[in-house]
Amino acid sequence: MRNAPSARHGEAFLPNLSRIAGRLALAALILILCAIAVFPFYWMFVTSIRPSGQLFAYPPEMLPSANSVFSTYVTIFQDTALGTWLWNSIRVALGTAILASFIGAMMAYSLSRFRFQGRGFTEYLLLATQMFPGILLAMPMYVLFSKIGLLNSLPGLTVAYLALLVPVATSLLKTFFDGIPVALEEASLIDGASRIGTFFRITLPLSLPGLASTFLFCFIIAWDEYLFAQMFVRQPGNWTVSVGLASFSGEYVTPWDQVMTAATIVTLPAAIVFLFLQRYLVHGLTAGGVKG
Amino acid sequence: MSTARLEQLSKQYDGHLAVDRINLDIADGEFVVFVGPSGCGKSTTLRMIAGLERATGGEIWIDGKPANHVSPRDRDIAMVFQNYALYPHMTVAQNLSYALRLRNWSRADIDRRVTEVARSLDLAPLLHRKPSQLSGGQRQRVALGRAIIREPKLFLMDEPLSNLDAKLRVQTRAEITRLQRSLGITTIYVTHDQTEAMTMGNKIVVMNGGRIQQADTPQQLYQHPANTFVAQFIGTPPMNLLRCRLEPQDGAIVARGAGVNIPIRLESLTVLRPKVGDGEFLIGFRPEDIVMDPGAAANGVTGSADVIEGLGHESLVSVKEGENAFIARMSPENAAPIRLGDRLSFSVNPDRLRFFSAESGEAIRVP
Amino acid sequence: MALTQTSARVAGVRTVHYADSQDRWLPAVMVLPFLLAITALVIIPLLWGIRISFTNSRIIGRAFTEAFTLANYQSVLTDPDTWHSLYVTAVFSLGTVIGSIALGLVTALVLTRAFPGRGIVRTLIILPWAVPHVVAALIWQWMYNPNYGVVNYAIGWIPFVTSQPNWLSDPNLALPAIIILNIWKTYPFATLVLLAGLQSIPDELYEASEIDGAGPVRRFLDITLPGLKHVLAIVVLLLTIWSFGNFVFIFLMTQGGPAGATNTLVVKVYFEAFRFFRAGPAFAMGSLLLLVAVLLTLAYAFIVRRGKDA
Repeated sequence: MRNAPSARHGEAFLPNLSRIAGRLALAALILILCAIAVFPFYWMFVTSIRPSGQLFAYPPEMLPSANSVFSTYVTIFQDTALGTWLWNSIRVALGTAILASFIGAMMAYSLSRFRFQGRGFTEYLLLATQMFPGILLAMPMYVLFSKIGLLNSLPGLTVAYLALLVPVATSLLKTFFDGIPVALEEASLIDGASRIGTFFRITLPLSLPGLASTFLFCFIIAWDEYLFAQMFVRQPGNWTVSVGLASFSGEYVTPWDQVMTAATIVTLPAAIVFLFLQRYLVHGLTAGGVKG
Repeated sequence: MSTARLEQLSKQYDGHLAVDRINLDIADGEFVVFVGPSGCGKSTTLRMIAGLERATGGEIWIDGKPANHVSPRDRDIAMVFQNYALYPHMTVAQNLSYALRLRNWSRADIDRRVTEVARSLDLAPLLHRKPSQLSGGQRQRVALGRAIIREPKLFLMDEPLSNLDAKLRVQTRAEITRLQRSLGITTIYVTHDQTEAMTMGNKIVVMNGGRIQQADTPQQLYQHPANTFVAQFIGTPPMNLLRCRLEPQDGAIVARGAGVNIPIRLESLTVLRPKVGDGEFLIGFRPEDIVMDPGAAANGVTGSADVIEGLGHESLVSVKEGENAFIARMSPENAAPIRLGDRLSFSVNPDRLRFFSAESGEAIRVP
Repeated sequence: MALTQTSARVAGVRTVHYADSQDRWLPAVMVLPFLLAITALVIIPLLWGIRISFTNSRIIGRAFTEAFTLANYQSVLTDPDTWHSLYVTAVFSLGTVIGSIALGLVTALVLTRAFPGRGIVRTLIILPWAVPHVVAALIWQWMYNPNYGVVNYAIGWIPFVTSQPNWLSDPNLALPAIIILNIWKTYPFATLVLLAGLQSIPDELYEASEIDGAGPVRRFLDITLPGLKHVLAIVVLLLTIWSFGNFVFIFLMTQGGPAGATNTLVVKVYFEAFRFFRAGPAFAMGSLLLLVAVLLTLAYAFIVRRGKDA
């Protein structure tokens, strides 16, 4: 007799005592799993608000210090170029996300609605470019960009990111467009709209959630990207946050309170977007294969 | 008020002919039903008339003008889709008025027309709902409303009832028929359901394998199927077809086969004889056209009872004899004493006998 | 990419064709920007890289003589470091795949149960996936700190363990340490995909096997695992591909060291090009990696398609 979905994998007939033990074991397991996922974030935040004098105490304090300081969140913008790096990242990520979503939307719509030769190859190419190790693309692109003077500039980096993000945007949007029944567009054409009119009156409004998620996802991938950014941009003034952040460590003494403060600031937008998009991600990943 | 004409209309997909040179005239105000099994080309034909598919051969004429190269929006047609295709981001009112807004009607005219249509379809209380908040039957009515709102030249309907439950389907069937008769708009309706076809259309086009098998009134289709496909597709249960040959018996000529021994009229023979000679042909009759008659053993059809299905108001008895099998429709009282394996004999109404070529399946019309 | 005049049903999606003049040029206009971007930014660079791999180019970006040579491939394939890197890459990928799937499967199985706060737990579990790679590397670098890190502090709790390992500088520990980081970063993905897989297994199957008398273990082996076969294949391949191409973690944590203990192929390619200025061999290795990546992608595409057909 199944009385709850929880009995699905388990112990519907077990006697009471072992059922209670099972409950406790499950609770403990849940706590451990949560700790695995969350503790590093906790540690990042706790470190960021620790007074620098207490950073190298041993044993480390597990709880936030009584005299926690939030001032690092202000001083980091004065002591380091974090502000500039954030601004650079925002510009690059916005630029690529807009361009990639736009180019991707047109291509995805074509893949979803038109039939043309080379379709199969295009779909393989979409997948492959998301699967290839970035370095394989970054190195020859570096050579070519150095020849045409696109290195060391944010516009150059923005263009380079299109190689990563146009395929991502195209795959994601194709699944969204596939979800919009063709009959809706046909109904609109019969009702008297032109092809372009139909796109703006029917397809676009219905794909807005898809476009928004694609845009955000592209933004976050660009925000996260490190390899291209550190290869293509050498002057600190043009660094993106990921390069700037990485530059903190490796010095003789790493200012961990500052690093973790900056890390928290950089993580926030990414985490928010991910939580917002989580229901789309699995589907997009397994359907089209999206870089994570 | 409008007519349509299909001339040698064809559609080829990757080397396979989905629609094969069909010809059809549709008169003003007619309710034409395309019916056939799935993949027979009926939906493709409808979509070509709508302009959603490009014809790869032949011509479509709407109101006497060639329409092949006219875009859907300029054909002045309305279509009801199988899944209704209601715009999910618009309210019922916006769905209804979409076509009018595209034609730049004035606000006042749109409001007046939407109210009119909503009243006639009982949609007035739903005007501000989104499609997702409607039941299947309500969605169906909105889809109909969207089609009738601008009084098009042609109504096209692509299996509009297939998503409704059985009871609602019967209701809506009558509703659509009533609407079409009262508006008088030429309608082309696609379905795979022969009951829908028979009850709704003034003209039924039976399709199979991309070709028109027969285009006729429901009555003609039922009584005089053009070939064995139509004979078996129209009618539940289908027409009985039995294999037999012409043989002389007592100075007359009878059709004889396993369980078959039916005298053929002289005037029928004059047509049948030259066509079939001594070869095999099929003799056909509807299940209701035979009557149990113990004396008909040498003068009708016989066999052993194989399956007995009681439907309450009538009973269907399947009878087998050798390679031939047929179904008899009878009253429950007459069927009650029959046991499986009983030998049964039936006499056949000679006016209702039909003949088909065993090779081509084409009907052989006899006087 | 010529447009054909036909239209048909492809993978359940109806493609359309309208007798509308916009149809003649619209598709071409919509496909063009994509083609330009991909040709200029993906196809040309990849071909260019393959071309360089057959020249004697030394410093990346500098001129090279056009003479065709196989010397780069010869030097890459005869270099014992290459084979060592291949081994490191294999251990890194395999360790990640096993750890990530094990942790992901446990988490997914827990999440299929109803318990208060399940939604919140599910959301928390995604966090490691959401964190930027550089941030993840920095947090773990801090946690692995030999003198002040929490990891060594936690180890101190284990009875009779007194050592304070220097995780990232010990040739025996550096690779496992980075594998643990990579598992932590990737297991949320494994969890979500496996969870989706678990939820797609019909309850009736569990009910039927329960009626047939199967216990929890049998049910897991006979129903859960076979039901997950396809998603497991997808997860294994994606995790392999991602681990194979992972650059950031190793570059930031150990730079391939200590003593080459974490020198994966991807990191080795980078250092060949940018530290040792041996662009020819770097591109030769890159081209070989490209071949591997193409094969892995084909395998992935094959598995995904087979799943769609099933």
